[in-house]
Amino acid sequence: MGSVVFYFFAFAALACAVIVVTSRHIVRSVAALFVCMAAMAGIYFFLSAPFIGAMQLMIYAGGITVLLIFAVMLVRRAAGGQVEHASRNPGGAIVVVIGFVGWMAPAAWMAFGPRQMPPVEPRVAGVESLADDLIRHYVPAFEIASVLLLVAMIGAVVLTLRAKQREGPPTDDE
Amino acid sequence: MDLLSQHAYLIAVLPVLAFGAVLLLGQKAPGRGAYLPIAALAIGTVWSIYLCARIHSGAALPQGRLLWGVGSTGFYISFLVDGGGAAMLTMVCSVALLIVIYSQGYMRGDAHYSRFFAYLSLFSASMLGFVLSSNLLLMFICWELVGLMSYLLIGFWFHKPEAARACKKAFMTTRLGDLGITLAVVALYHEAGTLDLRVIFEKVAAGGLDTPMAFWIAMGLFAGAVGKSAQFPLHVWLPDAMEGPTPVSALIHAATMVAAGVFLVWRTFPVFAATADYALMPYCAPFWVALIGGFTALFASTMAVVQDDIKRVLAYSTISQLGYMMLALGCSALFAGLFHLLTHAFFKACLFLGAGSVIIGTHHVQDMRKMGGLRVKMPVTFWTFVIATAALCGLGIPGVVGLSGFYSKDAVLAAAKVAEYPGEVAVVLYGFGQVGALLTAFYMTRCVMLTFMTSPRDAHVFEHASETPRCMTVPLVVLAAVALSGGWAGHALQGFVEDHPGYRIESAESWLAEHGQATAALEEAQARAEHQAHRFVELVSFGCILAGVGLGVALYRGGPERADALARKPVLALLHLVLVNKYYLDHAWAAFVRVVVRFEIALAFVDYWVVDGIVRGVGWSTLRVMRWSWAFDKWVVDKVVEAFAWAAGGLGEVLRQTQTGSVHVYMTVTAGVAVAGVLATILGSVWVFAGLFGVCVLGAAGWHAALVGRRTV
Amino acid sequence: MGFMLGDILESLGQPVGLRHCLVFAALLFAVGLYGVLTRRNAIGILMALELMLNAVNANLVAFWRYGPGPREALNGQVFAVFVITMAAAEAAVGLAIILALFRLRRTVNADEVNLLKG
Repeated sequence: MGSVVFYFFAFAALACAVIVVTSRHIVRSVAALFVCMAAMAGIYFFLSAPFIGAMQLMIYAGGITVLLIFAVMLVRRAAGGQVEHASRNPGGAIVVVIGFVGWMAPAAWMAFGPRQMPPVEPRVAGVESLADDLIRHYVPAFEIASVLLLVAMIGAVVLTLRAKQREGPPTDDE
Repeated sequence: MDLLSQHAYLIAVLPVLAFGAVLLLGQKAPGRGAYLPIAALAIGTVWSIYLCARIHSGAALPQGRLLWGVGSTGFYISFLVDGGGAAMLTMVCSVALLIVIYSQGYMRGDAHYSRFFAYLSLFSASMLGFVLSSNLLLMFICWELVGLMSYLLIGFWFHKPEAARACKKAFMTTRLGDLGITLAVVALYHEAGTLDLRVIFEKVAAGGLDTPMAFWIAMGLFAGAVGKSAQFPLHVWLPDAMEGPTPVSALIHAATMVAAGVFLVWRTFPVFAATADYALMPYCAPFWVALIGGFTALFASTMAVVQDDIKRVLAYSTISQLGYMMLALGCSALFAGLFHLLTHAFFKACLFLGAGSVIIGTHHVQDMRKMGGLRVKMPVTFWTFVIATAALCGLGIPGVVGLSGFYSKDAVLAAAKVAEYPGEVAVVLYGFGQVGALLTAFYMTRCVMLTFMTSPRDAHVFEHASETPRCMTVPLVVLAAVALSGGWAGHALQGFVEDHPGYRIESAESWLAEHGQATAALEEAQARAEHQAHRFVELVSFGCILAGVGLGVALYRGGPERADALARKPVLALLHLVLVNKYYLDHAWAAFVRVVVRFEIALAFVDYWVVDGIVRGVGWSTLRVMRWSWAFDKWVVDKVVEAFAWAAGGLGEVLRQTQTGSVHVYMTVTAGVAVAGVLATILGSVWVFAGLFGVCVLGAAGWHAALVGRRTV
Repeated sequence: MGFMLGDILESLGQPVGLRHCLVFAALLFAVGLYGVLTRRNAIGILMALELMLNAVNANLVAFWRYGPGPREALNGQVFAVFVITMAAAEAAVGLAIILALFRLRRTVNADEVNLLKG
């Protein structure tokens, strides 16, 4: 039964991922990405990592996808409704991708034998133990990550801030 | 020193300002250019009379330095007004003022009316600067400026070929004399280390100059004076200068500029006096001055006798009178020379302006043979002309009273008479002067007779003759009045010029103290001459004048016919021919110039074929060598450099293909290399790994280079 | 190689193990890589990048889940948290850059932005 759940989510995620990278409509790509992220969250739940799954839903499916939709809408509106979304030069990419998969998948397959999912102690896998670890052992990383987020936020604001008094057509140094 | 004395140099500066203003404004200047110079010169006249009064009352001499020179060179602009200088200033200003006023009438209707006044103004300024300067450098500058203005004014009607030739001739001839003055100034600076006259005179007085050097310096200065004052060998330019407008002749070639040479000798006389050792005759500079001056006085007056052009008569007369001044200076009679200069300026200006008045009144007739009887038509001109003529002849009642020339010319002759030269020389010098005085009376009488008396010879000229306007006759009357009465101020002037403790007299006195005996004797002789010889000279002169006037009246009573008949007699005809041809001096000069030109042609030949040939040969061979050098440079050096550049460019062209600027290509290559690298490691082929690693490194390097290039561009 | 189609079919019947997860993550990563390499649109590239990050996250969580002891392998989850944080930051900044680029060049096509072309 567990296998079915995993395969369902895995195939959904992969199918959606393929749509994301091949669709000619960018809105469709974004929608597929949303579904793909949700499927990934399902996989996390399946792997007994409910906190990660929740975060996946909130941040990816909720935040980043919305952000992408906003960006797509802004660009589409300014570009007059149509956004070029075609793929290009797939030949080289296909070679590289096949090379990657042909190396990675067998390697993973052969390196790790058929291993059953070990039982998970609810306490250990719970949010409490994760929080305990984050705050106790990984405080510096945690703080650095928060600073990174702050910097990214300010950077995004600065990058997108429009110069108000500027007039005329945009120039290269804008 | 009061303010007016302190800024006495402004007397010379004002006409410069007037010149600039008239030049800028042109016809729009007040009075179409006449009023500003008139104002400047009127102020100058009043100012210099004031200076005379100050000096007369015993005040300190006006002097000052305007601009400091470089280091201790002594090249600075400084001025000094002593008694003689103040008298000269007054004379120059007043005569120039009257002549500028007169020119308004004479130049009426001329196309370049305002420019004429601008020139006159600058000329006056240079002349005043020359008189004011106490530094030989500034004197020299003003001297040359005066010469330049003379050139411009003689050639004022440059469209007349004679005028154009005359101005060139005047300029070149005086330049010959200027060569001497230039050398003298340089030598003086070399000897004395300064060009400040006061310092030079102090050094001279202290015996700082040895005799041969002082002699050559003095002769150099005198050469300049000979050129400017038209003395014997260089006098040829002055008669031709009569081609200029008559006011110019009056101002420049009678009253002021030609007197500059005399004034130069007067000013620098201590240098001349330093060689006044009569035992060494050839090295006695004043002797040469006296000889040239005396000879010119006689020589020029003989030529004046045969001239038919009224202005040329006056021109030769001027040369002759300048000779008298030089004679006086050469006989160490400084005051007599200066005195004659001043009186002559007035009566000769009056004569020239009178001649100009006649020319205008007869509508540009200058030939006396076509005149006659003009006294009826032009009474004012006639009477002023007669008064000036009498003054020039030196008419007066011996021992009682006389016109201005009577005093000044007799002073000159007396000085020549008593000069301390060896017997025969002194007699010859005096004889020159006395015979010259006789001839002067004769040719001036001839001039007056032919022009104003006798009967009209050309009815047309006589019919249309008329008196000239007021602005021309008033200066005539003023000048005639001065010519009449100027001599009466002689004694006062003498005391004023000589007794003032000025630098020049001071130097002379210290020099006298130094040189004891000979000069004491000279002094004594001069004093003796004042009392004894003067009366003798006056009587002889009076006789000469009467003889000259009588001869003139007798010969020309009925017109020129009788004199012409006389000139056809055998011996007299030859003499007449020589005189009319000016002793063939112009021919001699022309021959001299031709010889010089031949010599120069020969030199040019040598220059062209020898000097230039060598230069051309060197140039040609250099060119050959350069060609080879150029070829080596172009085909070897340049090709090597180009090959490197070509190789670098080709390599860059190949390598830049990898820089597509497309992020996809970069990412594909990166991912591909990473994957291939890992695959190679797994497959265990070290060589493949090494090759791929090399590709990675090259790719990274290329990418980096692209980034760097982008940044720098 | 010992890697055949039969093995794959056989493994599908097996309970889900670590290698299943790893192969899934590798495939997801490959798809993301393909997208990154082929997408012309910068937003598309960003989305493909998110796929690749998710593949990594899946790996991390799987290694935690099937790792030696849960106690010691908790690191995997923590790393996943940090990766998500970083992904969020990257998405925000990336989209901001894309908007700025769009304002500047009137395009979001990555192959039209070739200022580095030599």
